[in-house]
Amino acid sequence: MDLLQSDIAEAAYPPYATQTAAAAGGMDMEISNGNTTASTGPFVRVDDAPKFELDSYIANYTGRTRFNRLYLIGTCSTYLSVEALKAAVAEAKSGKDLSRYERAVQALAEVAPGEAEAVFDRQWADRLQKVVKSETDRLEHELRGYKNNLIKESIRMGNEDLGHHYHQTGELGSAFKAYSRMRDFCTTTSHIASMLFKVISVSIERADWLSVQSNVHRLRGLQSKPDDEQAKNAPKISAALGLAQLNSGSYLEAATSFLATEPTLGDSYNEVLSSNDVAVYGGLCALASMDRNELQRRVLDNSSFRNFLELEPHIRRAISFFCNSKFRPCLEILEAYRADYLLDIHLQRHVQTLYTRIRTKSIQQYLVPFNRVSLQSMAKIFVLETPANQSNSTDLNSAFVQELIGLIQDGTLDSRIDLEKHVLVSNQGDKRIELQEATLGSLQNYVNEAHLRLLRANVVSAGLEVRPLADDRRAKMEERGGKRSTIGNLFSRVPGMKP
Amino acid sequence: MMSDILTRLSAVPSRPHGATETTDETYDRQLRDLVTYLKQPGLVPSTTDPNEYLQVLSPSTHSLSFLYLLRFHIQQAQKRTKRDIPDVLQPGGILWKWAVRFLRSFDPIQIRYSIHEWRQLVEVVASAALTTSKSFLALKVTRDALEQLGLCGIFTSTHLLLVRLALLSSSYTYALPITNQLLYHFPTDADHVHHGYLSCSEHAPTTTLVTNASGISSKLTHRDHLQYFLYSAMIYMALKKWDEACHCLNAVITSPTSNAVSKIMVEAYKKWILVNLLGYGKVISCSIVVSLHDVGAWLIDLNAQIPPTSKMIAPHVMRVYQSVARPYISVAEAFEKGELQKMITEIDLGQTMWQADKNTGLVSQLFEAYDKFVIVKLGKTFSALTMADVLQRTSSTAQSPLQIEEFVASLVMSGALRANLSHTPHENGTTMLRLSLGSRSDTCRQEHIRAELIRARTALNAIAQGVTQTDQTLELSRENLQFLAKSQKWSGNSDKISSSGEAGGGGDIDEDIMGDGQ
Amino acid sequence: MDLPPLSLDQLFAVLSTAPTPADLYKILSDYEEQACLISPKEVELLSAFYTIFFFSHLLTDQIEEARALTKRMPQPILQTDSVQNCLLLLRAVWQSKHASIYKILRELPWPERAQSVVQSYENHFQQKTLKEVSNSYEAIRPAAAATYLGLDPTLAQQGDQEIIQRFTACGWSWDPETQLLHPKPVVSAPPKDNGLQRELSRVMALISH
Repeated sequence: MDLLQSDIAEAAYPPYATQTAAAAGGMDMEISNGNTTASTGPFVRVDDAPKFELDSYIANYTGRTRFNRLYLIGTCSTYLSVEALKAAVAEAKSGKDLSRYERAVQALAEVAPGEAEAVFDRQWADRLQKVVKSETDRLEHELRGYKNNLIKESIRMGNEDLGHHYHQTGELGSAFKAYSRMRDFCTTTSHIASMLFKVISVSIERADWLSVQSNVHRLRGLQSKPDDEQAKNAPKISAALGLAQLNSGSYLEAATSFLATEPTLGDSYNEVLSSNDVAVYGGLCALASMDRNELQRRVLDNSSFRNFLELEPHIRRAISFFCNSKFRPCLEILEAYRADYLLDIHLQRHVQTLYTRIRTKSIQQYLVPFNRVSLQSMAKIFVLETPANQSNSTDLNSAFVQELIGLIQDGTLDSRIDLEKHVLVSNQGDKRIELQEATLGSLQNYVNEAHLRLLRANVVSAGLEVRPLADDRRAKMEERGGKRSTIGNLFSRVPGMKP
Repeated sequence: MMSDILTRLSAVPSRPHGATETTDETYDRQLRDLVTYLKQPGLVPSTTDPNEYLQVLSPSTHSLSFLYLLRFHIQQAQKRTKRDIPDVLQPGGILWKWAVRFLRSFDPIQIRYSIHEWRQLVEVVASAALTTSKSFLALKVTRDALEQLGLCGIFTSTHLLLVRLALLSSSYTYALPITNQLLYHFPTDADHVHHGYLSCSEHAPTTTLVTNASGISSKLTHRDHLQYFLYSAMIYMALKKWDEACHCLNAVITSPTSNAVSKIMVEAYKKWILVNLLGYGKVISCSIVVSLHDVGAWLIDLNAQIPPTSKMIAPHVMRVYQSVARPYISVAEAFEKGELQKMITEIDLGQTMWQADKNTGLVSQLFEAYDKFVIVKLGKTFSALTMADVLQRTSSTAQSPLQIEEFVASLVMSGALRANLSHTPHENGTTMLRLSLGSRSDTCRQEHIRAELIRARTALNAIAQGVTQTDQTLELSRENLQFLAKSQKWSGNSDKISSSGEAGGGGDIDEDIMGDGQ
Repeated sequence: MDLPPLSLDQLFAVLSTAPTPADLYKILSDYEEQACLISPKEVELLSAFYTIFFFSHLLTDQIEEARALTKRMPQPILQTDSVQNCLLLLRAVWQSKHASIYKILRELPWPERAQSVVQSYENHFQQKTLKEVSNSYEAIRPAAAATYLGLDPTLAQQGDQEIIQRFTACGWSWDPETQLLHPKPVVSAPPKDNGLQRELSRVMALISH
């Protein structure tokens, strides 16, 4: 059931991709294949105030991602909606993508119809539409000219210009096609690299993670001559791959990619993500997927990744707390930043899953050294609400005990709850007895199965397997025609067989 | 006159066990001569009083002579009265008494020379009991006769007769000595068997003696062995022996097929689901696949290794099961997921089907089984909880803490639930249920292990013997085997065409079989 | 080899001479064929036979087969009082209703000559239940224990010394403080067998290969 729902959720695009994906027509298949992520639906409402300042936050980014991020914050956060949507309207108006402007204005009109920006600027829109149309025509025309002249480099650049134009105007499908068409006309590896980055950029915006991954692998495969170019590209490649893996729910792989991202990334990939994002994404993915030793070795002791962590020190603290088995402060930090992460364009759909995994791992880790732990002392660590609620947090019906029950029932915890003494007891059965019982069980299975096989073999060798009607009728006729045993057949029909 | 005949009749007494005065060859010849003599018509005058000879001959030392004389008298009586079951043959009648006495004491070695006549006698006795609606009277005699004959693992029509009689007379325990034996062999055609044993040899493996030609069994079809295992399973169900029932049903539902599924198999599959729920609280997965073509290859390395999981249901058979047994599967799903309301709804919806399938009894037991397994499952999550907690955690059919306590206590006391109970001091205080992880107490466990081992050893011996016998039969006819494998492949293809046509128009022939496509 | 013909005297002779319940069951099951041949008009004999045969099932803990027996009895016999009592008893045993079981055994009119088998079943059931309670309860209120064993629960709850003593005689301990009885688990001495463990480990080795 759950599986089915997540399937449905997968088919839904993030809001900003909806229109463009529909416009992409033929590419739909590819998108829905690539989009193998997500547990929560696209609409999230965040009422808590995030910790970040919107202005300084958005200043980290360039390019189209600015609008996408603003729009997401504006539609999800009740606290920042007006501010973010106004910024989104301004952002849209500085660009050439009319559909974005329409969406931003519409969203703003819903939350703050009184704002000046909430009024649709028809004049500007009409003018933009005309400009875009003539630009499209001009570029298409030029490209046709280049094609007739068969000059490779010109065709490449013509496609690039056209792709760029489509990208700017929000026609992502066309942009993707145009960029992809550059491929045959690239003459140098740096051309190919630049082309692939453009494709990746569009694919990220379309949330086509499969395409991101495959193009990242193409980039990796390139042997670019100038080393400095490769050095410049490597961190971006890792970050893009990590993003794709995060979005497909492969958290350990994502963590590995982010951890491998070199700090030279700096602000060079701000049209996609910032170094802060690498720290957060990488840190959370690692917390959710690695054990304490790995976290220590691969994250905290990783001198290169330390540069990222310095940007987000609370992530570093959370990981240290986890490594030192201080689970409550670790979980509290994460909880404090929940609103921030729910407003992040790439994290939003994964926050719940990541947090649950981290919490489950914490509970598991916490239990390792104990045979039995009182529910009360566990609640002190894992029940994050106000202490007033803690008094009954060990009741059968409390959310915490219910959570433990769930973990036991899905096999995460090998323990049982003792509601008499209010403790959690680890299952340490007598191994010898367990083995003996398992042996007896398999012995019986062995005997039973051997019997069935033997029976089966002899049924076949005696020609007594179930046959279709034709054969059967013949057999029956033979029996009838054959000598009738005196009275034996009298009870071939026995009425009313009942157990 | 009489004494002359008597001398001939008692000329070949049965040999005591291990006796060597007469060699096998001599004894074999003597018995063959005796049978020839007994078969001649007009051996004794038709006016003879049955008691006259039967009283003098011992059924255990002169089994062959006794059998033929008895047979003669039965035929005389039938001829005289023009009835299949004359009065003297009816239960309590004089011939009935002699027949019963004979079937309980005959010498199995001698009877090997006239096994067809032996079977006819069993069948006559059974039909005499049935025509007087006293099937019970034939049940124990048939069982005793089968035990006396001592067929190791060979299935015959008499086995089927036995389980039918047991079900008809609703007496189940009496059939267990036979149903508990592992059956795995079928009478073979004589030309398959090529052996150096004389029938009277004590060492001759029974499989070499039991051929279709001997008449040990009426002509068998697939329906016979399927029905036998289905009926055996029903006997075990009546006794709530779910392990055994399940095994018998497995034998039916995994039976080899060639492009057809028997209705018996479908019936068995339905019961198999219910028995799994009643016995284990869940349907033990058996989506088992072996293509028919593998069987031949598999036979040859039967000894080599037996794979750990039984993957023996062909996909097309599985599809038929799943489509026809849909309501059962729905009930099972609700049961396993612990959705009581849904299960009740599904059970209500299926009433007509349960009735038509005669499974109402099993279905009605699901409620108690549900309550039981809900509580057993609690033991995986909790090590101790109060009755109030139990009531809250389980959506069982029990309503009050008192009801649930009674129920839980009965589970604990009967050993179905590994736990103990503890009352708290105060009056009207609570009751604590402590669910232990480890199974029974140590001593109980020892006993359990012992019993299991003994059972398994016996079964393993039987299996090993069966494998050897099967090897002998097959080894000597490997050519035949290959032919068999080939012909199956071939017939598999051709049947596909014919069966669909037959299925449409052949309704009157036999409702037992369903075409592949349904 | 032939059994003496079934008669009331023979039946009660068997009943009084059979050394164990298993023997009783065995002999009576051999007689079932004879019973089948007796005219259903001989109600007294058949009713006595089936009643005692029914109890021999219970005494050997064959509840399911006992139920089957009630299904195959001749119809007129099923209507007799003592067989009707058997049906009531069967239902109570089937549902583990301890209080009703004792009530049925003690208060219903059982035929005079069947009293002994009724009595021995009551003892059997009491012993069996005692063992089950001993192995199932760590602490039990006297009233509950008394109900299980067919004693007076009201008296037991009042701490009646005689009743408490009956339990302490079985090795249970009585805690006057908490007013609870602490049963002592019944351990049936297992026949010592080292070969068993050895054999099991051999089988384990065999299977792991």
